[in-house]
Amino acid sequence: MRDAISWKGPKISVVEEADASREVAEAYEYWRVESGRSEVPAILKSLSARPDFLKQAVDFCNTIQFSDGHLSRRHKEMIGTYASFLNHSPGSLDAYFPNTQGAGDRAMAALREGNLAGAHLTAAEHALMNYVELVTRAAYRTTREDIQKLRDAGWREEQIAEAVYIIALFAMFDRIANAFGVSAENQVTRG
Amino acid sequence: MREDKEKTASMPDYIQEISKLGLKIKLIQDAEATGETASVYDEWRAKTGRTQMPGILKCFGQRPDFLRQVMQFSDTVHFSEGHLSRRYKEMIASYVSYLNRCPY
Amino acid sequence: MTAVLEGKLDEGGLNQAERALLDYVKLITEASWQSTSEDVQKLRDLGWKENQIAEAVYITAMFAFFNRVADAFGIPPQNYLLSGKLTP
Repeated sequence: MRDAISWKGPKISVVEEADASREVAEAYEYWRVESGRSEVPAILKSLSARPDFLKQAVDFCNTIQFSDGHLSRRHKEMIGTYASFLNHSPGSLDAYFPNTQGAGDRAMAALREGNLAGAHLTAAEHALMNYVELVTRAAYRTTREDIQKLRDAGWREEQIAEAVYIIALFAMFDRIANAFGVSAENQVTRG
Repeated sequence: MREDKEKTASMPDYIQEISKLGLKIKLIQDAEATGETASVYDEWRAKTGRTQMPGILKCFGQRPDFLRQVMQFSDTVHFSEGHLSRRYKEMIASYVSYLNRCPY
Repeated sequence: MTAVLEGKLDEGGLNQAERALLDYVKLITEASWQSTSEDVQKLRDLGWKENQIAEAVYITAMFAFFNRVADAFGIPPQNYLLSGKLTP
């Protein structure tokens, strides 16, 4: 058995390396150079119908998600992990980028399953995760009081803004992953 | 109480509701923009020839580097030559924007 | 187009293929994890090409992104793209 990972099968076709046009091949190569990894994650392959967008996705994910900003990379990973659980695409962050906080990170494992209590969060982190749920499920219903709760918990305005960018980013990528059928759930590790 | 009946009469109810709530998270407005944020706002004005930057773009003022990328990818997906016609893209955009303001 | 903006798909004068595309857009917006291969096949059977289906997903997902940012900040909803390209 050659492959450790098999798919239930993508629902919408994606371009594999062997069949890639020049544009798509260049976009995949861009990922390899940027990431230092050889295997293109399935979620990126699902963008192969627009390789120009694929390259931009590599860049803007590096800018906003995979780096410290107003929020630490750890807090961003917490937001993304919990949002993906809420979006029924658990582990989408892992599928893109292997667990960067360490395999033994129990907080992330708990958030992956939506278990806020089991993540042993600080009060501020808990308030943040509650807000992640509000914006994920019905952003239009958030209120000024919801934002004040975050400020009262110690979050600065620029951190709240950045949290919104991350939550919205996962709303986008989790939908793409689910539509194509490339979320981690659809990838079964054999053996 | 509907003060501006003429302007709002044709807008769906949910738009009026959201408009009443006002700003929740602080936006970086033109007068307050400094550093790279001010640069990106200025670049936008210089290149588009327009003075009023859309509110949705100002939302990204806290991360001007990301703002530049947001503008690029939204143009790529929506405006650049793709596989769906502009008409279909706008139809999808309008419908999704309606759906995202409905309880479900 | 106004009818679509107000969710009144029956009044939009849509043909069967267009209606099916918007039904799929609704599915991806509200319950993307429930979409199936059969949902996608239905679109192919109505004439949509693979790249068009993929692009419909990207746009749907992109507006999941923009709508949340606008609503979290409290920007009144608008058709962002009526204002034209955001970059020159």
